[in-house]
Amino acid sequence: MPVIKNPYISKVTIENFRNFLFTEVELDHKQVIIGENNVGKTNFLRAIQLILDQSFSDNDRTLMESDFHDSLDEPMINGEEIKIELEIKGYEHNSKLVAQFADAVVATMPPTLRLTYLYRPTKDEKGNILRYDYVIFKGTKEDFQFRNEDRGYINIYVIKALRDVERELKANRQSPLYKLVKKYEIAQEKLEDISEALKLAAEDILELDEIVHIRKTLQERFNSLSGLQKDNQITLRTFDIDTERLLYNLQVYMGLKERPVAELSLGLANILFVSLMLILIKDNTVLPIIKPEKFKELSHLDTRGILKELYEESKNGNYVLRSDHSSQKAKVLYEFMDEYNYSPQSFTILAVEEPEAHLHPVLQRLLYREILHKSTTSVIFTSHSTFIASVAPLNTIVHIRPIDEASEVFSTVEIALTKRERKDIERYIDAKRGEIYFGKGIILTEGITEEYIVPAAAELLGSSLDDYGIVVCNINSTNFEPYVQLLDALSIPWAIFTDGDYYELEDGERVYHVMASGAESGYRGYDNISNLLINLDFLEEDEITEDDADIDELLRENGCFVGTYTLEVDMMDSGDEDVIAAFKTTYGELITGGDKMKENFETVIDAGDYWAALKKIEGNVSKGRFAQRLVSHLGTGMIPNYISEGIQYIVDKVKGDE
Amino acid sequence: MNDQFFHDLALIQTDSSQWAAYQSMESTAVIAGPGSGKTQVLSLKAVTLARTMHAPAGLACISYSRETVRELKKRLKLYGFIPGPHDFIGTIHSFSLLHVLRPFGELFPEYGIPFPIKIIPGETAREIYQGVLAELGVEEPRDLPSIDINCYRSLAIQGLSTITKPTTPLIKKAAKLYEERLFKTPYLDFTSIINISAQMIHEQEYVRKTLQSKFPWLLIDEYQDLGKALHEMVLELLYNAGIKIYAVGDMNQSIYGFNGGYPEFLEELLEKDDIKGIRLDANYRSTQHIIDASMETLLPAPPIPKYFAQARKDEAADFAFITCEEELEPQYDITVKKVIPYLLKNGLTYNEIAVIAAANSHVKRLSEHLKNAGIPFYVAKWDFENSNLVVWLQDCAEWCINPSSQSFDDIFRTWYNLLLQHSDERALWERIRLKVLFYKILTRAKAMPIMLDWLTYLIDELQLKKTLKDSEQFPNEVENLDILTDEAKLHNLKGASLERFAKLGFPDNEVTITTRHSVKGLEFESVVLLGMEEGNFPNYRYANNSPQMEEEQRLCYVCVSRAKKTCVLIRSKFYTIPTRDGRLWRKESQASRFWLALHHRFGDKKNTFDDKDFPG
Repeated sequence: MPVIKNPYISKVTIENFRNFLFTEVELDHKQVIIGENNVGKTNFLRAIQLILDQSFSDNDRTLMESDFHDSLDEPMINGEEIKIELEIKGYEHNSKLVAQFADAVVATMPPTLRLTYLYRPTKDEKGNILRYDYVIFKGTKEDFQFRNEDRGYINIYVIKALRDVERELKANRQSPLYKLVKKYEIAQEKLEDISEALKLAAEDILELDEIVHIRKTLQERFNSLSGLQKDNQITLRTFDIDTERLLYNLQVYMGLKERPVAELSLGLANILFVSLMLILIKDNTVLPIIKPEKFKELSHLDTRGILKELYEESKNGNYVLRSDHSSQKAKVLYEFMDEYNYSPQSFTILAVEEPEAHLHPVLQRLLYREILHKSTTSVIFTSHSTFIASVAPLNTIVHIRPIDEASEVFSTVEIALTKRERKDIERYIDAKRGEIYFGKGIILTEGITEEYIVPAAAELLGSSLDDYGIVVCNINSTNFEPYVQLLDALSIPWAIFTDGDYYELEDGERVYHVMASGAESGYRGYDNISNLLINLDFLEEDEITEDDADIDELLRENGCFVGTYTLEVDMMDSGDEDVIAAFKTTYGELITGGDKMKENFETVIDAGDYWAALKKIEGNVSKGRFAQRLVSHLGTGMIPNYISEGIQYIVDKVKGDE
Repeated sequence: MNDQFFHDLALIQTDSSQWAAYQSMESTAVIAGPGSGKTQVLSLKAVTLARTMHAPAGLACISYSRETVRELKKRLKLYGFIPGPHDFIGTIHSFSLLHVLRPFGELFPEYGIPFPIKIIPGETAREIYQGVLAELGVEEPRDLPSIDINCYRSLAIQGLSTITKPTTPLIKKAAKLYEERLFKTPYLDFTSIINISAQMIHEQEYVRKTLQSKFPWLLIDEYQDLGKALHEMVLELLYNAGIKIYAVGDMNQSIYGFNGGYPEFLEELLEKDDIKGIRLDANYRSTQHIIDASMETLLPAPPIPKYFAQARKDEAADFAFITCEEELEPQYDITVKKVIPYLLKNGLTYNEIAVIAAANSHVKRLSEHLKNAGIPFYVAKWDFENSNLVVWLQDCAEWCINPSSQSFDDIFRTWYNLLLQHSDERALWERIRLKVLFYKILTRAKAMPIMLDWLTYLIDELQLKKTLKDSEQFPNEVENLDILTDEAKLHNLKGASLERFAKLGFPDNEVTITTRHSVKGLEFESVVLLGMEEGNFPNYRYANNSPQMEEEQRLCYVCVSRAKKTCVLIRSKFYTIPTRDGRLWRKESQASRFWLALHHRFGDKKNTFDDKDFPG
């Protein structure tokens, strides 16, 4: 079934509200909001709810002094305002929304609605504050009021993190299953028939001798207690056969044994609840089932014959939408229904707080893939789950983080990546389970060696990366650019540790993997990183000089730490005896080829032919395994300067944030 | 309150009278001469008061006509004030309906208010009038005009005021008969609406108490125009309900005596001990010459107000006195061919000029002359009524031209309410279906730049006439729509753009042509007064020193004081009029006493012309 997507919040601006002093963020159709505890994820949603939540009362929308950002001194005496602005896109396919929100349009390319919540003082002409009230308005003019009626068309429904799913799924008016069933408008007569049949079927139970006895006893007891009370006939019934309640007696049972919700794990119940909500809030412009009379009525208007084509008659005489049609047809059908299905249409944006609670990681990933990739509903999650983040499309991440005293919100909606880069980075994030999103600081490295060595080096230098929440991300390539864009968009501090890849020029050709001989030379690492910084506007082209030392300093100022050759060679090249010994020991421990091999390795290393030594490590051990073992022989003297300075840099950055 | 508010507030702070009027926190009567900035003071005061009110109390602002209400609302909006559900800004009729008759009519059945409240259709009103004439054996309607009957009815209300007006036994009798006949119909008319309201306020303490808790202040604009019923309401609310009154007006601009609006009411209010009187004497509009000139025509009884020019102290005024040979036609002719071109040559633009004629028929004739000469003009008074529906159509037009200038929700709601009130079957539709339809129609109408196309399309597509057919609330609206359409098809709005229609209330670089009464409240660099012969203006029927003659003087005062700098007077020497026996009589006309007074003081050889020797 092809999809026509529901409207979504494309931009949020928050001023002075709770964690937020001023923040402005672009959003997409699906969003995963990440961020530390207490940084304001819930408050971010609450800001949206102030405008869009139908269940909020007037009282909920009226704020208090404590709702102002902490840094504001006596806000309600100084006349500060709280302002929340939402922009909504993707609504123009629905003529009802276009008409309902005619006053809210602020742009037409693409069509954009704006809704603003303002909590502000009323002042007299001398500037004295008389009182505070809130207004919510459409578009740019305060007198174009946004009313409850409007929330009937676009609203938000927030599923809270810790709640009693079981109770919510239980039979009652609020149950999403009941609401869903109600939407289908089942014919009253049918329900009455069923109700009558149920009553008959239950009669047998009531005629059991035991039951008759119970009724009699109960009646006697009651009569003796209630004295002359009239109309005290006691009747027993098996269940409620009121036609209305018949419907909300409908309950979900799962599995072959048909277990009731109460017996499900919390996690599964959660999925069930979210699934029901998603069905409930689907765009119902296109009717899934049409009753015969209605079908006849609509067919008269259907000049293109789209109904006959896409609906088939069920054995109950209703017309049911087929699921196997092209997106072109779906569009035609939508346009038709948009024009002639007059039932009010509510578009709900679903927000789910920490859905990972109680859920197995595998299920988490499944749930998210399903919703993020397939659902037509606009959904906002808040989450701490790396499992969720790892399957989230790259442009759906929203990161809330504290900057100075206030929280700010960043998103990846606008990062400019090629399709290939996007795929690469998504694959990487998936494979690494989204770790890149959850670091307070990120060290990007190009290989497995750094992945092992850098954390150990930091430990030795007394700055445990775990303590600072710094994560080393080995991207297995030197194409750092998309990663830097991503981190920069999310405002996560980062540093790059990369090889210098020293080369010498021989007849104009670059020769790599040579030790410095004094010939004309260069560093591919500098070129690569300089280009990156220029491409991303961190540096101007003319800031790059010819002098290697100057370049090195400039790059380091910008968080890029470039070695000389490659990490292992740089370590060996330090000339430190401990390093050489550690390399020899490590090699010796890992090879299986006997003493001869070990001797050969020692020979090349003693001859200072470190490239040859590295080649042997690669050939006979593998860099990863070698680095993993080398860590246990690591000493402070063995750490190259660019690594130790880089660690200091990122630690300072992360510290500076706190 | 916004920048504009504070800007204007700072402005009035420099004028001690304006500032005192704004600051007054007791019941106040502001007597405001021409060009004294009264609307500004009133609006600033209203916005400031509204800020201090606590719901469910609100602001109540009453003005004379729908036009002046619209003007006031616009001004309040300019100051960033958006009326809430507890505020009232409107005419005295809608105040009476919304806050007295509707809520209390059924509670006090003794007043015999028919529910639902319906306004009398013009046809029925005419029938009642004819019936009264027949019953009294009056053959000629002009011997007992309906306007006189209504005027007396509006004065008949008794209360705290001691002002009485003389009348004739015939009129008295006619008014009584009229009321009896009206009472038998299921309708109210505008006079009975406010009379019954005033009576209820006078007699029912609970009504006063409710009004007092809803409206701690009552602001009234154009007090001199509002008649006795309002005056009684005001006195009652002031003395017996503790409501504070803020009244703005000018006795000297009282020109609606035929409607029951007399200057004495404002005078009586001003004399009350509980009322603080403040006079705004500075004139920010005109040169001192024009001010003096207007005083000449007024011939006021002492104490004579001393108005002084504020903005244009040192400029000299221009006068021109032009005498034509015969009839009105040459007056139109010279206005179009010479006077207007002359004014333009002297640096004026079209919209700085107003031509003031005696009657609607004169305005029509003049407009034909202007049209033939290709001079753009604007008629301040149309044949169609500027009804709520027409105002709404203009709002729709404005939305079509610029959606952000007008709330779509608001114009939709007005239409929806119209359907509801008239039990139009479409009111039963899902509201959103109706809204989508309305949006589609208006969006399509955007593509129609010509008013006639747009209007016809809207009337048809929205089925306005079907909705309004046999309407009880708006009995004359279908007819009014036809007149409007006619105007766009054949007359002054022929070929007019939609934009023109949307901005009908404002001349758009056009010469304004208007009657003497309709020019009130407007201002122009230059005014041209036609028909300045004794007998025509003032009317020959009015005796010297009669109240009608005094009103004619005030009317001329209003006309002259519209000018900032230039005043052109035109008259003809001869008129041919039919005599009683059917013959024609070529009668020599003398210059109007107003002409003579002005000419005596400002006339000289250089500014006195025959139509032939006027330059141009």
